[in-house]
Amino acid sequence: MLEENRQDNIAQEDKKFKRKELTDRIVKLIFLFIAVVCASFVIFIVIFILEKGIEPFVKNYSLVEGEVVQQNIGLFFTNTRWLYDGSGGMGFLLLTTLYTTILSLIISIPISVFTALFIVRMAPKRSKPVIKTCVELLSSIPSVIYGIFGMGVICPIVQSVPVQTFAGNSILSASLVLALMSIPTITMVSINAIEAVDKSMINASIALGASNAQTNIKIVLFSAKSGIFAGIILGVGRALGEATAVQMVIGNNSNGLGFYNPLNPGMTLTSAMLSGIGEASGIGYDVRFSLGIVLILVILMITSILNIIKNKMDVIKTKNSTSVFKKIGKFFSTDIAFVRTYFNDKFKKNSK
Amino acid sequence: MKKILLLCSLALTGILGATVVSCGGDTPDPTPENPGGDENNNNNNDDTFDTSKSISLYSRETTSGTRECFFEGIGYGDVKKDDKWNKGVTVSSQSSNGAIMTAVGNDEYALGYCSLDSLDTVSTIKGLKFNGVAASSETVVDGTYGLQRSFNYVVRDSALYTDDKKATAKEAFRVFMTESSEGLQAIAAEGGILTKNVIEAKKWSDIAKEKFPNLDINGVELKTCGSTSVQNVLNGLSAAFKEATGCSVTSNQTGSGDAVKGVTASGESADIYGDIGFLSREINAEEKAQLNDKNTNGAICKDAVVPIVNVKNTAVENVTADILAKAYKGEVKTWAAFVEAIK
Repeated sequence: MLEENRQDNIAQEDKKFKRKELTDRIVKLIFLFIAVVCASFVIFIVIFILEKGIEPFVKNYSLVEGEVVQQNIGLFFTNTRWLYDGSGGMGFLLLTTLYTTILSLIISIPISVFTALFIVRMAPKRSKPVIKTCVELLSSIPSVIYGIFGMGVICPIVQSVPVQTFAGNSILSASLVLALMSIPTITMVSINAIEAVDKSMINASIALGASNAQTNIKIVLFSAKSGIFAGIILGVGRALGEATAVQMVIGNNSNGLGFYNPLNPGMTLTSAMLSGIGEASGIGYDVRFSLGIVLILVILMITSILNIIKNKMDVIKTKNSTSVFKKIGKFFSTDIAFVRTYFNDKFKKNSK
Repeated sequence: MKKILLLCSLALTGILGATVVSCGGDTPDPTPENPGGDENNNNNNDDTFDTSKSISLYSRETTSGTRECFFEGIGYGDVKKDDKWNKGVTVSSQSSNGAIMTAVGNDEYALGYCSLDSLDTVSTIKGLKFNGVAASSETVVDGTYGLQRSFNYVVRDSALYTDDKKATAKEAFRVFMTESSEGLQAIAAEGGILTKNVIEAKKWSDIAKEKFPNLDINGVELKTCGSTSVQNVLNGLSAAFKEATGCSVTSNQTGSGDAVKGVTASGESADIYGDIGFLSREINAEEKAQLNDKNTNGAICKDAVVPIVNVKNTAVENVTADILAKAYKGEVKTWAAFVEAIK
């Protein structure tokens, strides 16, 4: 009797446990579905941009007064002027975009990394949250505000150099604005990376006689370089994709031969897409999507290259590390198999 | 390492301090009356305009009607719709009248243009005379100011309509935009320079009672065709007309050349069709030959553009179409050459 009761109790507990586990796994599958739907928006956006961006190369467009044109693919890569009538070239736009981004990183990386180092390692405890909050607030400022700040402050500063400029509207002004915009991103990620450095390494360095500065530069920054690099990747993404603020200060010069001079006005992929879009129509509108394809490809390529470099910088690699796809596959098979088994068992019991 | 960090922080503080000092300052903005910007109206030696400097060229975006009017007016139509500048010519494109005026106002050696109705809003620029005539509403209306164009309309012959209601709606719209105070105000609100006095114009309700008794065109849809430059004015007129009568006006603007083509098309199934066509120029002889006396036409407003320079530019007061075209083609690169070419 007692034995039977004990068996019943065990069976009931077992049932409860299985039901709970079933609920957990179903909820996990639902969340996975939602996450996949969210991630698929990226695919939908890319497909839409691809579809609209290829149209100028294949469709016939009527220009004003009856002329019919298509975007010339050869000129799209080789022309040194950006035009909206099917003969524009995006080569120099791409070069100006990369040039502006590199200049902005040269300015923003040292400022961001040293700011992060100061906040984590040197700032007095009371002022640390204040400075951190100020940096966080910088990241919440809208792009158009940065653009207005650029027009009102940065352009006059650039204009004050002893060389004639276009009221300060230049590639340098755009780089400075982009640097301002990417500093908070790089700084916040760098702060997290520096905070994650093992304290025992820092203490060991100081115990061995290194100064605080030597420890900060040679131990802390070196150990946090992977995380700092991740911040730089985010900063690059921000700089490459910024349109509004850049268009307000870069001068929008569609003739690309002078792009190497940072004091010349220039034009990036994003500013070309934005320039005059409000009243654009026909090929003048659709060709902006073609620039969008180029921009997406550039961002993907650069981010992939930087991620490869970042992965090589990682010091510790686990021996039996499993690839992401294998992990997802295992997740699918385990949970779905459990659900199937549970319902199969239940149906079998009911039929008996 | 500490010394380096200390020097870097001192340098950064110095740069920030210099920035704050340079951005501030008590010097009042220069004005056309006082280009030196000095409180005592003295011309400072530092503000002497250096004519050896290069001309910094500014323009509007490719979709701008003001740009189209300017380059058509100076005879450099190649660049009116696209940035087909000559090689080696650097032109900075600005997104609006305000942006180009601000840019020219901040650049002592700038040359640009803006629409007449925006000219007086920025004190650091000055408008140049064109062929000796200063731009104003009076000189535009009487035709003495050269850098202008008319926005003209032409309507479809009512005999071509099978639907009387649509023919009536077409006539009502024509009268609305040319005679009613609401129509004229809508045109003026979009920057059009009126050739008629708004105050003397009758209200639409009075005109409708007199000319279109028992007018019921609610739900009728009219189509327009022709010039893209009229789009802004057309948007304002369409909204005002719909509010007054319930009749909607849909625009399909593809260029002035399609205005007459559209109103003389056989039917709505034609490629280009319009109940009313608009042109940003006069109707030419070839087009007039296709019209009859039932195709009523006329001007709805004028559009004028003013060449502008920085108020500190004391070298230039008057320009011609030829010299402006040369500047934008890169044939005249410095202000000294510009002044020499004007003489």
